[in-house]
Amino acid sequence: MLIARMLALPVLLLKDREVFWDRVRDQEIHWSDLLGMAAFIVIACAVYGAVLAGWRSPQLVLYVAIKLPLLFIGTTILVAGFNWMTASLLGSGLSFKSTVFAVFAAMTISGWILLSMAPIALFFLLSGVPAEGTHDVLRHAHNSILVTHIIILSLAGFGGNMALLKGLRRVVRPNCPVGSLFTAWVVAFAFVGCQMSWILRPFVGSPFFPVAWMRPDCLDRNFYEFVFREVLPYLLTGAK
Amino acid sequence: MNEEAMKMNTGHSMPPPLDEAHTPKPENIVTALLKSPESVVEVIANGKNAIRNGLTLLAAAVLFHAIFGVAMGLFGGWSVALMDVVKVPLTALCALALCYPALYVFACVGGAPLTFARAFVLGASCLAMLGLILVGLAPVAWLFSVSTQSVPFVAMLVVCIWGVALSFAVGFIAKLQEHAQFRKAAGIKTWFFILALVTLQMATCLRPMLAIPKDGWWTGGKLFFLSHFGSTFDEPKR
Repeated sequence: MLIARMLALPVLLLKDREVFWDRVRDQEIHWSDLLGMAAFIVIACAVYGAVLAGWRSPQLVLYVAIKLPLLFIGTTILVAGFNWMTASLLGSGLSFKSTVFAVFAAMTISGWILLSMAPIALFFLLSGVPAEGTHDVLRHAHNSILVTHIIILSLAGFGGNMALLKGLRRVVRPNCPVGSLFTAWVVAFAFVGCQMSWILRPFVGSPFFPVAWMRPDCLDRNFYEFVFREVLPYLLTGAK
Repeated sequence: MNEEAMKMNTGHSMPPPLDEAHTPKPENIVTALLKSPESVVEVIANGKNAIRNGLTLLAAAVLFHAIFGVAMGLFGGWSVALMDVVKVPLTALCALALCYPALYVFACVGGAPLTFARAFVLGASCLAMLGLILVGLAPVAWLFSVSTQSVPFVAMLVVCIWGVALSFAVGFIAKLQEHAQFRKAAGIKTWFFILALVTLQMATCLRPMLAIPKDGWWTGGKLFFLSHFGSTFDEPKR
């Protein structure tokens, strides 16, 4: 009974999103409904997170099963205020509750995609990624599984965001620039999400570093310092 | 709404929907897939006899893949052909089974919600369509398999033939879009791309397909499909 109630909104979002968006627009949803969606997102991300780290060690499986939901839910909480403000400034007519539900709806769709792709990711993990071997074998294995997960997570993100864009078109006032609102939300989520994932790393788990809950230097610098100081100079000059 | 009214509303003539008399029976579903795929689309859409239709299509897909397995396996002799009778259909079936949850979710997310049963018929019909084209090209695969010693050539040939079969299956998915229920087929197309990648990895997992290993039918060992296909080119002769 509890599970059916918890799954009611996620299933509605999967099968009949228009009804969900109409309920958001008409303010027919309650804060208690959010619990079911949040629980679904946590479970979906935990399942996929367990697969994500499955090639490295059972300890990392447990860590990532906790950290991946933390990354998604944490990022949403951190940008919730900004989302509501931009929605208000752009004249969307959305309440704070509606903006939170809209973002959670997108993550629920992503959660469905992650859940459905978990068996495939697990299969690639079990059949294509050796956990032992020479330096080159391990590096190749790590890169292969990394690319696989990047493709799957991108698909999930794309699916969620497309659902969000279509939903926003349905719920905002006619004169609201939906494209600008959507872009602001996605950029904010990506900006904060990159830093959150930097702090919470490792996720896939490099074979050349010990398994850890978080890296010891996780708060020493941020993701963007790393990109601008190390990645970009390397790409531009070919040297560190 | 009659056709005249449709014409007036949309500005152009629309094909009339297939009625029940034009919907193929389960025993004719494979022929219908070849001769009139739109009637199979109707079967998927109305969901009637879904499990029976799906099982028939799946059985046909297994048979077609097995035939292609023989043609391909004759490269290594009858023992390899016998092994491929099992391995080729197994590759296709396992890939479909793994991708089944993704088909259901991607179709729903893409805006063409399916029931589990209809998703089953859709998956089975895609596999049967692939199999049909593979059977059509099996004589070509056999001719080249028995007239060369080069593993890379046969591997490339098989991948190319499979690519042709894939393109026809994509065409079948495009036909789905002609039906009102499947106007938004982007999710199903994305799923098909995933199915193709999973099939490549499954073939790697069940390797070798062109030679018999020393012990049993399986090589074992974990290998990514790109590495596997890359290494195929290191073995110039069987």
